[in-house]
Amino acid sequence: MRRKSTCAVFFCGLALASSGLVWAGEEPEGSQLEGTARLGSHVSAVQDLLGRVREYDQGREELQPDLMLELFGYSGWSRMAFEVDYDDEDVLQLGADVEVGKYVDAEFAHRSFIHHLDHDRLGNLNWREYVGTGDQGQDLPGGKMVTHDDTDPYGKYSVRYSDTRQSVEVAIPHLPGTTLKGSYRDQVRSGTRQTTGVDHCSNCHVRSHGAIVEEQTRDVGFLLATVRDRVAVSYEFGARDFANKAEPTRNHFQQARHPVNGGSAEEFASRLNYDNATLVVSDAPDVEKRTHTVRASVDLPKSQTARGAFSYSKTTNLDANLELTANSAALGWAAPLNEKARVTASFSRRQLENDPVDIDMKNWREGRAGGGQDFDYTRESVYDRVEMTGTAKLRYALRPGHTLGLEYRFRSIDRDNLELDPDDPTETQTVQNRIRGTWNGRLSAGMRSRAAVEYEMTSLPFVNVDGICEDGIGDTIDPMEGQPNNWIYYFQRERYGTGAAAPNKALRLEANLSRNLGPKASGNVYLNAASEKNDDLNLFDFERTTYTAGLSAYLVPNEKVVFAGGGSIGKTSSSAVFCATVMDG
Amino acid sequence: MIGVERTPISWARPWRAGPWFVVLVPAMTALAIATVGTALAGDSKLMPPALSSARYVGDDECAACHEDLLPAHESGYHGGIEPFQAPQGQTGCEACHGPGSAHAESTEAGDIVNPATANAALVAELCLGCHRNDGLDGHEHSEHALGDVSCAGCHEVHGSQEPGLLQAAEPELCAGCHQDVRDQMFLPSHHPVPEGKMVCTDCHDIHRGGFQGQLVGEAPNELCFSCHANKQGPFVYEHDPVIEDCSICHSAHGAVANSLLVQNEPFLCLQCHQAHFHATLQGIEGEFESLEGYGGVSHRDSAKQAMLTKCTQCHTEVHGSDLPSQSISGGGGALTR
Repeated sequence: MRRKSTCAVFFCGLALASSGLVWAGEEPEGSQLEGTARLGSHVSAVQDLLGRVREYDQGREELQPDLMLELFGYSGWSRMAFEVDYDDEDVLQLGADVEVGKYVDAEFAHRSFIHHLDHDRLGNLNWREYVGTGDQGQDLPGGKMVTHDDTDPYGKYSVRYSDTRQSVEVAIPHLPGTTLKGSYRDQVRSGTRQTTGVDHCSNCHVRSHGAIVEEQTRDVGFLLATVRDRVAVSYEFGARDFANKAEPTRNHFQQARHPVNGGSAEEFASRLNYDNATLVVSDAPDVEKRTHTVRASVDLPKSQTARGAFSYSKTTNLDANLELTANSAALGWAAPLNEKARVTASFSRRQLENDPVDIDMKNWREGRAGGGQDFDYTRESVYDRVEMTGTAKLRYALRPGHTLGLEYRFRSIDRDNLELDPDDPTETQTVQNRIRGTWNGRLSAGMRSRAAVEYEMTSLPFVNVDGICEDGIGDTIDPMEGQPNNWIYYFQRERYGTGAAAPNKALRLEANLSRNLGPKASGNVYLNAASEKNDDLNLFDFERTTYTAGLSAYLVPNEKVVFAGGGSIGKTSSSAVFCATVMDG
Repeated sequence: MIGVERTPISWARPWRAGPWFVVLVPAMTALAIATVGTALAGDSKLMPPALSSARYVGDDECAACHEDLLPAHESGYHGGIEPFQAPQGQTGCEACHGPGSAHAESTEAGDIVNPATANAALVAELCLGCHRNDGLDGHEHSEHALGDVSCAGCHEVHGSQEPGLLQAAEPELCAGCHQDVRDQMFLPSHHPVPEGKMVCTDCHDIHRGGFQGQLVGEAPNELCFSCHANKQGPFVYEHDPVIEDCSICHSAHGAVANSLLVQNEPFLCLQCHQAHFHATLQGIEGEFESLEGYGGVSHRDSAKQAMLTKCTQCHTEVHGSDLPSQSISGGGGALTR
């Protein structure tokens, strides 16, 4: 059924073309048809254990057929091109492009490949607590422990990815420059993957399952565009539907009980949303998205251009009935100041709003001494925000082949529900200023180089406020007024350190030199470096330094043979504080 | 377990009224721009002065001297352009090279436009006369345009066997300048570009630049979701950096760590989070068995191995989930289910 529908758009285009409606004028004479066929075979000697090496390779060790066909031809106004590249039923590429009568252009492309996935053996999950040494010198075990089991120990996981795209573009007769375009994209991910689940508080036990993957994403697009004189206007509608068709994986969450005495179910069950139940895990929701985009651009006097675009989208989580709306607008202007200098400026604004969710939780330690607290809350979304970006760029031609560029970018992200400053909970806005200089040069015939330097300053970058490091036990932590052990479970709410992986200062350098070593050979050398730092944190300075450099050369003696060689080296070092809490303080 | 609080439609927030309203307003704006633009439209500032008084002479005049270029041109895409397909109304050699009478008379190279060597902005102006709606509006803002990379720097306009009249197939064409990116593609974890399953333009809109940078879509995350739709959400339980920017955790071109992570677990996670307190505890030396019958062999450092190897063994749903996690104290948002 799906195979029939996936070709529908492409064949609609062909039907329209062959209907005779699109033929107009006197068709020129002449035709040509040429094709290429290649037959062969391939074999892989990659062993199963080398998963990363054969990540996108079938890895079959028996001889496999290999078939490639290309066909190109034209007759009068009509052209066609077909391409088939067949490895096996899972690894396939198809392409077709048919132009009929100058008014219809139908395209079809399909590709599929296998992505091998890892199987984590969970071998690191073996631990039982040591609490001391007995009279006989033996270890005394405590109650805390970590165990695991794998319900699918021999599972080999992989996903077949299939992507089919087709489109039909129709030039509307008697309206020069006006086109209608319909498109359809069908992505299918099918196979098996590993999913793990932890059932908490009955010791830490992690169970691994082989999970079915059966996901489909369908994108339908419609575009109406027209160019008249110096003005281009278009409207585009996009509909995306993501469907998770797999039977959900379920995990059994064992009955919570004390890890040492085993009997007191309430001791731990009263701190859990659920236990002694088999529940769905790792289940991606069905999602639909609808997008409307209007674009306009115009050529203004003196080679200036202006553009504007507006987009509205609504994304709906169909399982949880959540709606995310996005409004995006962009304006841009470009103009040559003179023969050597060119300036551009652009501004964009994007606003996102996501539904809040009322989270209904069980009461904390219901029925236990000091318990009964209501943990219900409303999840306000981090999506809710206004983002603004403004850029101004200047390019100056020093002399033919040599240009200098200077760019300034301002960016602001004002979030409704994400705290960024531990000293001021109302501060939710990140402001970023970046300046970048570039140089492009053709040093001599066949030698080209690029260099760029960039400095970025960010006020209140994305961080996790109060995400790390807990305060020591003190008089201030006593939420249940003296009940035994009450503070342990509230302790995590006393974190005071801000964690970060985003810098507030960054300096980045890039340099690249390429040289043609004759008509059939080239060489390239590059160096990139970055120094990033966040020294506005309350506990530590986050630092990250990156260097990468590479050298490569190509030799192309003829169109059938390419020799390529090269090497690169990179080093990244970062420093951040490591926080681990200490049980019982 | 969960409920949704709906925000009522308000005229203070007109976009809540639905897509038709928000389409109508920008459509009217576009129409206004079009009207003003048409009224103001003038001559090019970049065209060589010699062409200002030149006139169109037709392909036959060009063929008198450039006969060698004709076969490839006539069998190629641009050679078959008909007048109704050209918004400017001009077809043939002079549609791209400008009016040729001055050049035909003087045979001087400077009396006609040669896109192979001309100013990149002028070449773009010529090409966009027809191609502005082919995903090229905003080309002037792209890094390529500002980097003096001309249309002819990537396209073989007279004819090519590659799609889109490219000079060479992707990714080799792009790697000619972006060697550093190509090298990243050979790191252990990468998108299947070297294997020929993806190309650069699957992610990069090199002509238009989208709303931010040269990435396809409204924002970088939207680009990623076009193929990884299962991580799109919106979810009931969110992970903030997923909403913020995928590149906080992932290096799209390639990485040493699995899953294109910029750093291995748990170090990536520990930059923003702290470790479980269990990681500081010691383990017994020897075999053990739990009350449920599961067991194994523990060592002194086994707690560190268990708690500081891979956070996602337990926190599997790091991209977000609709399903509450087990612990009440974490608000159900520990992303373990």
